[in-house]
Amino acid sequence: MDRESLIKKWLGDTLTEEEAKTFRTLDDAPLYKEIVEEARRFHGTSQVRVPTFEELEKNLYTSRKVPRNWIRIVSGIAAAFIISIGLYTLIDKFGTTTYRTDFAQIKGIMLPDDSSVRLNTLSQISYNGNRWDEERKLTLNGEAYFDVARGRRFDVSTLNGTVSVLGTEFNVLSRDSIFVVSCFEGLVGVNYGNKTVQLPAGSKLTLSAGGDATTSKIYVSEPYWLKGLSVFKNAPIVDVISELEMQYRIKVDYQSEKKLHFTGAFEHTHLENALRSITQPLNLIYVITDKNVVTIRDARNQ
Amino acid sequence: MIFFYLSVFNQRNQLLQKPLHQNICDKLRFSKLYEKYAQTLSNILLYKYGSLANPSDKVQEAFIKLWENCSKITPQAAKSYLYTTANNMMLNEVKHQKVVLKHQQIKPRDYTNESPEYIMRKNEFLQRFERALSELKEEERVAFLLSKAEGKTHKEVSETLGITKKVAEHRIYAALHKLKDALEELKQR
Repeated sequence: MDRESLIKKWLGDTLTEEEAKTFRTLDDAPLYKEIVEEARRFHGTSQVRVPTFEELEKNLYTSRKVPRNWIRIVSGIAAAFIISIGLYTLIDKFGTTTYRTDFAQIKGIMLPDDSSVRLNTLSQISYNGNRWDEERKLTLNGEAYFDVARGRRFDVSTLNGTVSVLGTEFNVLSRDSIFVVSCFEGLVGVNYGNKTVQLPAGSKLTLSAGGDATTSKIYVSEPYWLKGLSVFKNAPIVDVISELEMQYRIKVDYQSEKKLHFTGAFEHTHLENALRSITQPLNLIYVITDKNVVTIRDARNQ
Repeated sequence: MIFFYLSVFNQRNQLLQKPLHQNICDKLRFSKLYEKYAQTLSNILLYKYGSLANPSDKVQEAFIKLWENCSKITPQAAKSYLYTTANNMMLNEVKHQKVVLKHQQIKPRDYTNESPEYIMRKNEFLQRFERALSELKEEERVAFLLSKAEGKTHKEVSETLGITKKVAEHRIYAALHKLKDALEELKQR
């Protein structure tokens, strides 16, 4: 066995009796022994002793619960926040009132203040009655006539734009992409896209599908539908027919090829009268084929 | 006093109820860790960097850090976390400071029957030993002192340092060899 592995074995305390004898014969054996024996004087614990855990604990206490507590506090706040938002929206939902009209139906609604709304056929408004005192705001889809009591700002928000006003009478029609605001008294502000238009009494704003707005004069004191009339000025016949279909809840089969334009009105209470009002000036005839189906065609074809 | 016992009892109870607790955010568990590793870690740092760099302070700071992050560290990872943290703190401070190790002074009763010449030689021997130790390679010194100052077996040394038994054996041997060379002159005939 070579010297190095002998010494290694001695260091690891794994010498056999035989090998131990050989080791003792080494010239340096006493020195090795002395080195290893005296090495015990360099034990770390005799030089530097760590304090007891109780000592350390004093330093731990200040920083102990801080990280945990923070998580708790933050999550507590977050939970309270989420719950209150949830409750708020829930209460808010409960406070929302919605009115809807069906085919050939007009509804009169009194708002929490003295303002009144007349809701035309197939329209819907909703507002939050609980918050009416803070904010006079309602959402409209369809057509409605507003008589607004004096007071703070009154907002009608629609998909096409927002109409704002202080005590006045005005009509808003917002159906699909059609957006018409008529002002009968006072001054109305119309907000659409990112533009604002001031609409004085006796004028009307029409927003076309292309997004262009035109203002025109109106000479009536109330919208026609309040009196049970639909009034048209140079309107395409298809628009007139769809209005007719909506008011009487019927299906119209229009068989003429002509692209006619209609100026005039039809009433909402008597179907035959209404049909006569439309067909006679345009030289058309109508046939009521079924209870809910009407055929309109050119008079000459007969 | 009664209150104190109660609280200890409760802590034990919690431990029993949650045997699968995955972190060390528990005073009792944490104090066990401290008792197990603090002194050993301080010793290793001392053998590596000497006493001037205050290994005990670094060990305590490392334990405070471990406590602050206790929820993120598993019991298995605690040992290496402590070692790395304390070692990094040490490195930041010492850079290339000279290693100072102090031997335990000879007490008169150690050699009651020895001659004054013998004691003089012994003192000289220990002073040289000290110097020779500080001139060893860091890893050799640590392995040697863990083995011969603390009396750990080669297996224990290798486990403490995370090296193989073979490497531990070699480092201890290399250290002994260098120490012998430095102390050759004082060899007793």
